[in-house]
Amino acid sequence: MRILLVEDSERLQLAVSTGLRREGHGVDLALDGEEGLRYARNNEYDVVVLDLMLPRLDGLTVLREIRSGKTLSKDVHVLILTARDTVEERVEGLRAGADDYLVKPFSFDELLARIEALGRRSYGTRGPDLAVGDLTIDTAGKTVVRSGRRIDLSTREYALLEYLARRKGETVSRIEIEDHLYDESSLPTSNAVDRAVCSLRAKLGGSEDQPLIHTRRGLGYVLEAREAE
Amino acid sequence: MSSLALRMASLGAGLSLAVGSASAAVLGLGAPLWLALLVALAAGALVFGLTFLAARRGLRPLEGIAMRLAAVDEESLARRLPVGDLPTELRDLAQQANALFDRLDAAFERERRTTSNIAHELRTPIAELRGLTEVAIRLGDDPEFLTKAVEEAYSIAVEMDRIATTLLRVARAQAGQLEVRRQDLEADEQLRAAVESVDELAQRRGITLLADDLEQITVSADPDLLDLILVNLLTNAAQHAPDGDHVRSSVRRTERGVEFRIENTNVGLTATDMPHLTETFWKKKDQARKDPVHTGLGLALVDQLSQTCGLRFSMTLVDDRVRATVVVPNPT
Repeated sequence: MRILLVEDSERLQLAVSTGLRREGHGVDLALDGEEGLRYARNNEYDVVVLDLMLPRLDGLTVLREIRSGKTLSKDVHVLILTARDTVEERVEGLRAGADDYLVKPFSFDELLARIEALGRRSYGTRGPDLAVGDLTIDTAGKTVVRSGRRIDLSTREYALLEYLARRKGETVSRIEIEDHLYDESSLPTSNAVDRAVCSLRAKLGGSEDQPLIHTRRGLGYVLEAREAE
Repeated sequence: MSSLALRMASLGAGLSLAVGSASAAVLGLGAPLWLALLVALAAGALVFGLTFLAARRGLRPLEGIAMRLAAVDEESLARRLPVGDLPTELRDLAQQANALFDRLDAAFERERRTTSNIAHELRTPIAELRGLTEVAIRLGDDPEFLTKAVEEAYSIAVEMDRIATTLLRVARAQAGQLEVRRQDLEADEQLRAAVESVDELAQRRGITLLADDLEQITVSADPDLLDLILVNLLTNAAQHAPDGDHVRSSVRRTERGVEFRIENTNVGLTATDMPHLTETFWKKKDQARKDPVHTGLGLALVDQLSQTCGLRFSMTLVDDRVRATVVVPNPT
């Protein structure tokens, strides 16, 4: 997933972004409300994690601006992450357009689970399992099994596979993959996506007449169970 | 049996007659006077009874006040005595009691906000500490992140130590446990030294500290506590001034005494914010805490130290400037 974290504590940024990247997500970081809004205007995110007490522009104003339709991330799922814990403040945040609300201090596991739950909503799925033909992906345990055989993938390969699986049957462009898997701290080289797909194909294996990842020349890639073109 | 009865009877009759005759002889009273005495006694009893009833009725409002006072606890400090229904003589008493409730209510509310502010302020460093250590444990095999997490955890511990130490100082000042050792000081030198000690922090923020109006005046004050006050005020100004601002400080003699002033450009404070500035960890709703040096306790400490030292401290808005003033009063 591509995630925007708007948080003015650099230490929390460090902890959360490191943990999320280790799980294979791309994370952009903003230290204040104005910067966060600028990122949201110019990029498409799956989830925005938003602090409320921010310098320059407070979190609720950022949220209202996102929902006003002036940003590329108008329909993005927003999780408010804040020290404000009263019922009134939670209600205000949710009514302003947030999808979830988590109070500091928090467990990273819980934050991750909530972000992933919001991410599943983005692709219209509810359960943690994804299936494409004989391939099964357990998104909670981050494990992949094909024809009963477990497949070990790197974090990046897993993230790529999960993204393609969530959009199974759709043609996904290289730019979409780049936007989704990479963030500003890890900008891909020109053929990084092609190499990642190639590596993933090799690991998914299967006989030559049962490929899962199909290339649509000039358009991108499709993940689905069908005969090779 | 009959002789005994007769003696008894005659004894009784004799006694009766003897007493009657003795009273009449000694007092010289006739039957109408007896009657007058009885009437007087009855009238006295009646007056006493009526006075008692009147006094009781008159005291009833006092009883009401006593009952209301007895029912007051920290949850019902917002209630007030109904002054309008009381007799004139009791209104002043009730108004004074209501004024006391106003002060108590404000003090309790301030205390509640302080507790809430402290808890709230500790949330961010605790969240940072928890996040860093949890992710470090989770990663396990990342020595680079582990080292960084330990370094940050150490910095957080230092910051929390600073907060705890300052809170303790405020509490000691409140409890009157700080010893004040007054001596003659050069006020301008005192201010100049405080400016120098805050200068590095100010420069990091692009703030210029100016000590441009310093009269050579001798004051009687505790040098350490006055230094703590001035350093905290300068630090507060340097942290809240807008980027590139000039923080001006001065010391001069006025009618009230020797006056220290520290001013910076106002960013967002309104008149209604001013009474809250000396509360521990108070900040405006949309104001973020990100400067680790900023504990949110500086002005609370200055307020308490000023009271302890007998100085007059105030924060005011003057046009587009925020002005902190500390006055060492003229000796009386």
